[in-house]
Amino acid sequence: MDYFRLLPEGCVSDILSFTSPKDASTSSAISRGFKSAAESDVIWEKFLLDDYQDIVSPRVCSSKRELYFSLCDSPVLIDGGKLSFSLDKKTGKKCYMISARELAISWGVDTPWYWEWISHPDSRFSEVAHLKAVSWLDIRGTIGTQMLSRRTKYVAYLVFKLVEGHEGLEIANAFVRFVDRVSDKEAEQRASIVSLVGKKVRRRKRKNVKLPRKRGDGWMEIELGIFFNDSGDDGNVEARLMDITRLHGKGGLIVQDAVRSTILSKGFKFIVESDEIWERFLPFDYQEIIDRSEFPPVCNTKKELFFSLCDSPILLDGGKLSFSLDKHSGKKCFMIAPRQLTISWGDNAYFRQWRRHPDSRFSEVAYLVSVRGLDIRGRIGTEMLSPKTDYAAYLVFKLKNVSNGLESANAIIRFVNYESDTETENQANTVKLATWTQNRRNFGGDNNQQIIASGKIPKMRDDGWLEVELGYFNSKKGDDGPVEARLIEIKRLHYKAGLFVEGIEFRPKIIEYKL
Amino acid sequence: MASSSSSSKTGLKKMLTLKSSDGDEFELEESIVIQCQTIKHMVEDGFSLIPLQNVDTKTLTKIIEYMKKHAEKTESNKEEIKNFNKEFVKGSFDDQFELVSAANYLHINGLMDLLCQSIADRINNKSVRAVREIFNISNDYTPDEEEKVRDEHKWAHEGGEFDESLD
Repeated sequence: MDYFRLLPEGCVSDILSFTSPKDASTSSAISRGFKSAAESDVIWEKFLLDDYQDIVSPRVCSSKRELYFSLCDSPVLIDGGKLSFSLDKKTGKKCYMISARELAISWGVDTPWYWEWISHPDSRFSEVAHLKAVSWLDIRGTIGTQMLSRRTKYVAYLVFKLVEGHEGLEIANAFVRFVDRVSDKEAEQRASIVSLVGKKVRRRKRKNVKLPRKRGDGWMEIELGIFFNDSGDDGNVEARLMDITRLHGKGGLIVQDAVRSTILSKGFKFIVESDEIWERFLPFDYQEIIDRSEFPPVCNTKKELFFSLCDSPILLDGGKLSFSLDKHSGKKCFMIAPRQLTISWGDNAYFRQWRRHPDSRFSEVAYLVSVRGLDIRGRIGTEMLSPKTDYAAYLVFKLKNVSNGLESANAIIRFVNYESDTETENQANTVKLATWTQNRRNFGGDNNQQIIASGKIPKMRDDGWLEVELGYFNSKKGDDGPVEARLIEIKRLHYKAGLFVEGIEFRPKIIEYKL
Repeated sequence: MASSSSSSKTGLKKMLTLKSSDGDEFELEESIVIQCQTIKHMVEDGFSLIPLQNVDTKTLTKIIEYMKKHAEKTESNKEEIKNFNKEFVKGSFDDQFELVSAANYLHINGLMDLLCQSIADRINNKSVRAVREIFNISNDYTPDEEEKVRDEHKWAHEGGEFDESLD
């Protein structure tokens, strides 16, 4: 007789909640009944730490189970990016990675000829440490035992990458110590020997050398030591990688720091790194941005969230702008809603109307009925954009079947704080909103290509709207204040009619600089 | 959670009668019985004879044994209770699963936790095959379906060493 059949289904879930996340997950394969029981929220709520809500901000998940796996698969940055936090999938225990910036790295992290801080596309953190050349290496990371799961064995790893041409990283010492109880000296004496290089260690030399392993996220990790966190009242634990006894030059290491189930990193040229691919593709402030939306996307995984944000823009700030991600770069894209644009074809309702449009993401679009002059401006703060990125601004629009006078207009981009309207009007580009089909046929071969490539005639977008590029700029550090994109035609005062404006979009542009 | 506050207030020990599905009656002090949430609610509603149609005499006897012991719980006899618990879950699966159903129905949280932990211990780190065998669970998946379910949690099925023994 199948004993479990005697039980109400809830009881099977209750029993599974006393196993481990790993056992609950494998139990799905036992029978249909187990699968259904194993998916119950009762179980996953129990597997989530009591204090997870103190650690990470609320996220949108449809079930506790989803939340559990989201915390396993997508580490979250906490404490302003100093640490990343995740759960160990098999046990549900807490894992932290310390960002390289929070490590103590001797030999002058701020002396750029030894170490430099770089941003690394694979890293969960904003910066990683890059060792260029030092003659000794000493990296330490510290974490409070009270932050870790109790009665748990932890391992500290240095997470890193080797840069081509690295040198002198074959052998180093590593140890873990309770700072309050074990002195540096004592710990050094029982340090283990590790190699950051792996295969290249000469066999005859060391049998007990620990070798690095490749991680799922493209980084390498080397175990620095193991400790047991009993009740979390042992003060700080320090993990350290050092090589200061052999003074040959070292170089070529990038370090990110991991406490996976605990601690740290070190390096010569190491890159220290992070967990999940998809979270790092998301902008660092994505959560803040999503929180501005009335209907945040509901996603199980960061990957899902990434693609959802690429494919389905969300409205922010009560519909004043929409936000999405550029699928190729993961950079931020914004579209300013028409109501937020300055449209000076007059406030006269006869010339300009607000209409609902079935294809629009916004509640209303602007419709140009019939005007002489046309002047549309949209602004965005550079601090909202992804930094150090080439952005282009696009007017997104549609034409009515019968549209007039929209063949040509001027487009301008300017940094509002630095450039005046008059200055920039002289450098305006000419763009065409209308009759692009006919015109395209009329253009000659090469000439045609050039004009399409330079974006000065409209293109059809995937969402059914047309867009024309108004110009581009670089967001730099995001401290240049607002950027204004403007479309203007007030010189040729013939009538213009039949234009729907969906908004002005700012999104990354790949600019090919000609050599 | 168990307390004897209600009885000590009156000085008199208030008695309740539990009636099993086989018709046997057990008279017990209220202070013992209110470990059981279901009964506690009935007592609050004024019942003093409590029919338990889902619990047979054999199971009820065991449960009363558990409640009596746990009503004695103090700071000093933790070890004794621990040993009692250990012995308590040594019965056959038939008995244990009966007890789980009953503890679930009666809402005796401590007993439920104890039983669930004991059964979970038999599942932990066992292979799927071993769990099926231990608890006599028939596999109602087709091979394809099972493969698919395993695939969903590949990470859990990989890497670790599973205990294939049937202890």
